[in-house]
Amino acid sequence: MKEQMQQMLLEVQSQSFIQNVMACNEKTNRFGIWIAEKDARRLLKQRHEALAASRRIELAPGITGALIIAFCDSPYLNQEEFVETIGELIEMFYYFKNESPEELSDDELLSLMIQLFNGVCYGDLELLNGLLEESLRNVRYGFEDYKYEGIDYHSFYLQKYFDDNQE
Amino acid sequence: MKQWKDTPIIAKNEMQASCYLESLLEAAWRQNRIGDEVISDFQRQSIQLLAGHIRSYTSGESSSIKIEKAQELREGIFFTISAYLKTLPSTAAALEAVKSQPLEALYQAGWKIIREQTAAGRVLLEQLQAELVPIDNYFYNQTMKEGLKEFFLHYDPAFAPQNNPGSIEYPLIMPEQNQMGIAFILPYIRLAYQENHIISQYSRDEVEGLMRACSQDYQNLYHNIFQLIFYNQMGNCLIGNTGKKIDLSGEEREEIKRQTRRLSKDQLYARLLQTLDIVAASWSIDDEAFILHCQQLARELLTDIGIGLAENCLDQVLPTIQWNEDLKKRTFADNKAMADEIFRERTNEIRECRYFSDKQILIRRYFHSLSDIVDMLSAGCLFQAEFKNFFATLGEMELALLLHRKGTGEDIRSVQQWELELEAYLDQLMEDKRKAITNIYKGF
Repeated sequence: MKEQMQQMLLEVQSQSFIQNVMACNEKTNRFGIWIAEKDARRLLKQRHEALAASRRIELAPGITGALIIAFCDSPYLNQEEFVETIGELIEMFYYFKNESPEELSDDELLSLMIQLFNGVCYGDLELLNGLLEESLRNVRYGFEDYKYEGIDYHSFYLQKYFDDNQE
Repeated sequence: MKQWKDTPIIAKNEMQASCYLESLLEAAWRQNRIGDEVISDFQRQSIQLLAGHIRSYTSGESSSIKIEKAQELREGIFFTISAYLKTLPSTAAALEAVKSQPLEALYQAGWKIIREQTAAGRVLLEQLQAELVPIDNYFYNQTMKEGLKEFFLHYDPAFAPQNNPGSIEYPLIMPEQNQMGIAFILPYIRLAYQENHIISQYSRDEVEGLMRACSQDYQNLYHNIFQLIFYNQMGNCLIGNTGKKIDLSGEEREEIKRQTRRLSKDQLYARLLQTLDIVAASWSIDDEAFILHCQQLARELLTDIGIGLAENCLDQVLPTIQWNEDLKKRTFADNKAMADEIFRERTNEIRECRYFSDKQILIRRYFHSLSDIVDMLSAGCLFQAEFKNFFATLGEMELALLLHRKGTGEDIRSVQQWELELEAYLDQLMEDKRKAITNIYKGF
């Protein structure tokens, strides 16, 4: 009964997921980005895999639409790589949601991701991954930098990230 | 269809208490009482309920949660619904409710019950802790003082009503089997309260002495304390000892053996049930559920007496209290002795009495100091058999005090009549009583 319920949950959500992603085109189109239905299905698959890998379940409409809207105006993304990047950001989002404390909301994590991606990371996903890890570790140590807007990530995280990697 | 409604799906007491709703649906589906469409509808509604729950749990700030947490929330929802379904008269009525009422309504009904039970549990716990018996036992104290309090501190009736936070280690006589959350803890507290009510009717020394008889390390004894009291009180009552008494001497055990050996199992059980009536009355218990527990315990006592008789180890079933060695080191503070003139007046008054009963009344009324009593005994107030009668009115402690004041025979003063009479009286006592008096005497 448990498996049946999970399967049913996924089926119910699939339809609304695709509708939700396609509805984002209204906003993304302004920035030259269009998500086709096949791309939406691809994102759906990636989302399923990411959720399964992170052992999470998500309620409609989920985070994908919010990620698309948040990243569609990024100067580091264009039509060719947008869907693939969103796919990786979905995976990253759930991973860090698991790693972050319970009180970190979707909006806070999303805000941190977009600030780092467009700021110090210059659109580099690998760097974003490293800095997110650093930032969330700080949350655990009580330094909730994700809550402050306008923080100079460049002088703090980038230096720390490279220092750590050099060691 | 109508017949189904009247016949039970499975007996209510055979349902799995921890997953009542699931086992109800599973049994009904297997018996073709519900079809796939009912199951589908149930699943659709439970997903909606779960979604609402997840939103509440995350305060709408997170669209996803870990599967384990979602599973826990789902179990909580089913547990809450089950709390309501269990109150219905039969499993058939419960199934009908699932089929005919929205799951949300069933959940709300269950939620109301759980909230009420939680509030009742908190109140009862306060009463229990206010009347707690000071017994030196880790499991008892840990559970009664800390574990139960922790349960209510961390219990989450909204999102995890099926969980048992806190450490509930102390074993009660009949713990609720397979129950969880408040459905486990509320009957636990009720039963603990009843047991405590009885334990508190005995002195701490007696209770700990009985525990010590089971294990010298009684502070870490993992055993129900009430059961020890129950067994020995029943043993005493069985041989006609009246009042609240849990100590049993070797002779008393022999008497139990003598009285029970020839009884058949049924006869002995009937005798135990009769005894239970007397014991329950002396404990002032009238709670039917608790008396049923005691009847069950009487059945266990029946088995244990059988084993005790067969294997000649009744002293392990109905032990003798082992008093604390430290308790023997007693100190005694005497009352102030009366003025000489008053003493003379009162001893004269006693001497004028013709009957011992009158003398006894005056002694009890006037003499509240050991020195005065000893002086009175030496003042020719009592004669011959009157000494024995007087000593018979005294308790073990008073006799030990007199023994203590009696000369050792090594001093030069002459031996008093009362001292000889006391020796003679003690000599004719039963060995256990004499030993108890000597033990107290040695402690001074």
